[in-house]
Amino acid sequence: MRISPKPVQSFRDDFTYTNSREAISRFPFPFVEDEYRYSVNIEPHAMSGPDGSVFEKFLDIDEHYLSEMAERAIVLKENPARCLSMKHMDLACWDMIERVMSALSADYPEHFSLTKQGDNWHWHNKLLDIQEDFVFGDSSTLPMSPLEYIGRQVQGDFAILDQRNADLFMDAGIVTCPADWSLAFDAGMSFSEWHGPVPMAREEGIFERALKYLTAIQVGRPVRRLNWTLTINARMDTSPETYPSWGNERTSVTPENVAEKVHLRVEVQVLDRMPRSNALMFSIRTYLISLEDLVTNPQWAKRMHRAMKTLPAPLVEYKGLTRFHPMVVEYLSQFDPVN
Amino acid sequence: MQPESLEAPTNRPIYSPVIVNNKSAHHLFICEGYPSREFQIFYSSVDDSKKTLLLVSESDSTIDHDSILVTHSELTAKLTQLLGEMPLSTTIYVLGSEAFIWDVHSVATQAGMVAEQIKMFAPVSGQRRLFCTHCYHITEDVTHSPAVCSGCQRNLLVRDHFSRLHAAYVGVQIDAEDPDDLPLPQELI
Repeated sequence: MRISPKPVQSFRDDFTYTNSREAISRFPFPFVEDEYRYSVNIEPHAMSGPDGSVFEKFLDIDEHYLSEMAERAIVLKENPARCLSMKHMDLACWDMIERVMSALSADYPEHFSLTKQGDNWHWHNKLLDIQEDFVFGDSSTLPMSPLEYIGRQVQGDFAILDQRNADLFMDAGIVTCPADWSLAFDAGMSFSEWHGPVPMAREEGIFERALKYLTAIQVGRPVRRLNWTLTINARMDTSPETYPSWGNERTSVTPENVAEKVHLRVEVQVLDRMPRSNALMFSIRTYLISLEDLVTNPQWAKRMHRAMKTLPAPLVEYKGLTRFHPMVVEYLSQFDPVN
Repeated sequence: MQPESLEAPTNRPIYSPVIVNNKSAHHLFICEGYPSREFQIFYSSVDDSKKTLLLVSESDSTIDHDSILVTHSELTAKLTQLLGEMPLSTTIYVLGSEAFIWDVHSVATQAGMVAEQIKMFAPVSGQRRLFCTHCYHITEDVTHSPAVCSGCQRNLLVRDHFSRLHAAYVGVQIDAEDPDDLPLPQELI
């Protein structure tokens, strides 16, 4: 069973964002073993995934749809450069339009419909009340760039990676809810360049193996991986661009408010080969859950404690957890019978 | 305990020793400021009929060599023009600050050259170009971290994260979490 989108809640200022019981039960909990370690944790994003799970459909549309689209509009208004596309990426952006519209209309016909007559397409997004007649491949027939147009109608950040010289390049994207990386700065970087700041993995040879795997992805065989961090308050836009306005929240955690303030932030990252351009569409879908909601599942609470307790110091630092990590471990310890 | 071999995360470019590519039909030497003695010796080692020297400087200093002199603002146009006239198998040898050599790299790749045709000497100084992730302004010739952004005046930590496209390192506000926690500037190496 899927969840219907609910009215708009905020990811800033008063933070009215909440998860329903169903949203909690389907949360993509990322820790598969008690001790945290790096791995090339890539697996096929095969359809259909388990019923009702966030992996059931190619793109997960959930109860936060309207809230996330409203948040994206705010970010783009503040800073239009959060959506960028180099000239040679036009075809790849149209690939994305086709992929997203086809998937959404097939998987959620109650919310989205797509009708085609040759290159004349009609798109209807009933949730946002958008109707559009356009010519596929002709950017002048859309009210904005193809990437921004579709990006404003689908949850999650998107980077479009150009593939050349056996490498991947960050040449287009719409990124309004990143976990501390800047599309404007990373634009044009190769795979190993944009991973430059990640500690430990380089020594372990993770990037070389991951890149080989990713450049070999075939059309129609998408893959996914999960990534995670901790975020203070239900803030979607934890970008470096806006860090001066939210960085101080990391000092606001106390033993009394830790369960309510600290959120586990999970990214479901999907990589999908685009058929016309040979680019990879890299979608980064973010889910947020407060520790308070997370510990309603005893298994998660116990495992989360162990994963946090064994998290290597360079990762605590890299993920920006230094100021409150001990309070998180202390809070979670009450749910672990070993303690 | 972490293993001692753990290196600080970085994607700083690595500069290998430069040697003349004898297979090239032409050799274009580009130097920011007055050429070092080492660069002059390197330049002298190539046959006169197959080489061009492009000097980039703001001052009108006299140069001994038969060279082309341009200012930084004229570089893109001049380099694009030269590459259009030179053989496809031209090799570029570039010496200057790190931002300068990657600016040259960008212009040359835009003009259709591949990375293997662009030989870069190790930067002549430790000065860095800094890209502010908050206001996107560029601050030139940064030697210490933290450094003040020339755009938004914030105190920026200079991270070892380099963009070849911007020819710059990234700067992130260092005292955003706690305004009282501002470390003393340290020289960048």
